[in-house]
Amino acid sequence: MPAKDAGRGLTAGAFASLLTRLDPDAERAGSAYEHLRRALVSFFAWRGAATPEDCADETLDRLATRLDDGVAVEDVPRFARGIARMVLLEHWRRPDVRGVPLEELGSGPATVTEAPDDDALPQCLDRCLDELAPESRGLILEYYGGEGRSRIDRRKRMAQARGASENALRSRAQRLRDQLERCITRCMASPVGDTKS
Amino acid sequence: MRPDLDDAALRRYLLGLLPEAEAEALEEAYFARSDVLERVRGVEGDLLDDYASGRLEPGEKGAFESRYLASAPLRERVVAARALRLATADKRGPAVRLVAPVRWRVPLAIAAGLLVAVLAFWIRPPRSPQVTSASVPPDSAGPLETPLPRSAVPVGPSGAPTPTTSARQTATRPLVLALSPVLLRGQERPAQLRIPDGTDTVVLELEGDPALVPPSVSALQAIVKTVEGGPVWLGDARRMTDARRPSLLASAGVPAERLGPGDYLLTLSVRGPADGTLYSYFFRVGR
Repeated sequence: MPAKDAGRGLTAGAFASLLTRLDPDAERAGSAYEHLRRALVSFFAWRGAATPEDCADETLDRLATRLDDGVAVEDVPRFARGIARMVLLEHWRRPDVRGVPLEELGSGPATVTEAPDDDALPQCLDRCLDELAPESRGLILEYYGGEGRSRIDRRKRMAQARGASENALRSRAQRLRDQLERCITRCMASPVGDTKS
Repeated sequence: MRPDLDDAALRRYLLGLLPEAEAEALEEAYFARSDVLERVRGVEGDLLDDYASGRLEPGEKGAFESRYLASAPLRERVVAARALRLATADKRGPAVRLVAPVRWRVPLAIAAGLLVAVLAFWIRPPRSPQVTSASVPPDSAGPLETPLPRSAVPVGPSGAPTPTTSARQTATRPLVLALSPVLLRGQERPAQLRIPDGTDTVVLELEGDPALVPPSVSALQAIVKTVEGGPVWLGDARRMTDARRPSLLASAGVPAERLGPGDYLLTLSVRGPADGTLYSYFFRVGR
């Protein structure tokens, strides 16, 4: 259960309202919440938001508050998506994320950010792969190896060998990929290549 | 989710190419169902891997770069995909693979999808015959002509000045930075440049396959953005021809004051209402 989210500025009552509306069963409500948050983060990332996690949390805060206020909501995920679209619009209106039309560029120097050091990537990759269990490391390298038809066939064989469905295997590979991605991002952002948050 | 939204449609969504109504329907579906979200994320993983492997079609590549390289969170996924690609390219051991030299492949093979990131620097005295014929042709004068920089220091892959140059090179030696289309940032290190105080302009020579460039009646333009998508500069790209460098397409003079430290994406395109993107290039300005 994402207890940390309850301390984000939401009242405990609002957070409880959200969970209850997602599912009366506490365990399933937790899963539904995690899915909704993943969907929101993905939505904001794919729509080009600069801070998808923050936008997702803002959306969840507003959703929970509205539910706690007693607003009649028939379809929570659909309602959440509506709020997300509003949050995205507001996000784009913020001066710090709004782009400037090229034609309106002044003579001042551009503001840019320092890029990560590409030299760090191989080291970070090695460290992050080492953090995975051997079986997980083998799975992710095999799942994402190859290309085209051979990759599809390989994944089928992998699923059969593990007695799992292709969807289940895909979910597992995706989770490992997410884990690896987070690790590499942390490592690349760290001046000493630290992989711990 | 609509039954006709297959993996190809999901891919178009991720590239921003799906009609808005269909995109909204898909979003509604993945908000409601975790299996749909997982499926889209799976398609995204393959899309990222295809980019990292240089397997995207030119149209997809442009859409991908304008979306995934313009956003810091998505760019992190590109970096992770690069890493994963390197790790899966050869399972004998990532450390061995990653330090192996990357060969330069001929630009004419770019259209076939090869990954090439070839970066080269030329230091030439101004007004020399070589510069005149190769980088600043006599007919290049015009309203957008920009002076050559008084000085600049290219840096090697390690970030240090290259052996042929130094930070104290004479102020009258201009730097021309030649860029080959980079299909995968980081397959090799980007072209790097250190710009000393007093430099007016950085001249970027843009290479590619001349066969893909439309006839000379079409004006070319260059757009420079930060890799986060922040606008930096827009201007004409002058067509270039040099028998010794058949892959040289055009050059663009970018005011040095616009190029602070950081990574940049330059897009070469045909000027016009339609999307006439020809090539993208990466380069880095160091401190």
